[in-house]
Amino acid sequence: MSLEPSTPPSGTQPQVFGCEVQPERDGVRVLPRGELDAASGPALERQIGELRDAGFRRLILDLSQLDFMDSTGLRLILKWDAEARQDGFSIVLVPGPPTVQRVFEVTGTAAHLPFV
Amino acid sequence: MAADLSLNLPRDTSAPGVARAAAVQNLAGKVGPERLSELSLVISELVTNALEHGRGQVVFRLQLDEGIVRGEVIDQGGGFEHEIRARGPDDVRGHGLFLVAALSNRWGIHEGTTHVWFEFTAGFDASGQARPRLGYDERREALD
Repeated sequence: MSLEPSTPPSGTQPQVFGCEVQPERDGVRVLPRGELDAASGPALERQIGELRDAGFRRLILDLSQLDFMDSTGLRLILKWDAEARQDGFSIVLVPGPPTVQRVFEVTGTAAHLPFV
Repeated sequence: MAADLSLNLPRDTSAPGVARAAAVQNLAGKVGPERLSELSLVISELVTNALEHGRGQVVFRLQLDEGIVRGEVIDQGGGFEHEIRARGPDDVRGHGLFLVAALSNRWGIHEGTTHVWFEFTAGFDASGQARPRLGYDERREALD
């Protein structure tokens, strides 16, 4: 570990985050894409907030298009799940790839969350 | 030297992603894909913690040597390392540091500093059991 710190080369920029919203018959599907972390968490939180404000009572949070998620994403999902239990809206989760599901498994939260 | 990386991270929310991308670029093919994704998670949690609770420049260092990945996340203090030091690395609160403790082989804080360090054996899972698919022999060969 003797190298002097350098600034990151351009090839190491993180992937772009995106979020698709698909209205369905009885609710709305939210499909975050890419990496869910401190950089992208606020955008997803805003998106879900807007949908709830717009009156959607059934949210399907589909994690299948995520490449990565850290505890920022986990914390948001646990918060929405807790709010849903109190607030009369519902949220269901579509599992992500193994690297995303690992976060739920390691923290022992998978069994308590409404995965389909 | 198989891998060596030292980065000044931007002090904003892009830092965890920058650190992860640099680590993956540096270690791809040298660490099994599952272990690499666990390593990305640990790096992400420690850098996020440094951003949220520390201050000053955040430096991220990574080294692969003889099948062991060693990393450090360094900030200028004032942050969560004081909490960790007060309770010890085995008593972690919050999901982020829980993930760090669960997925790394060892981690802690260098005495007298604000340097959080972690170690990962490249070919073993968190319980120390060899994974048949990610054999140690295979890894050693990849390092040479």
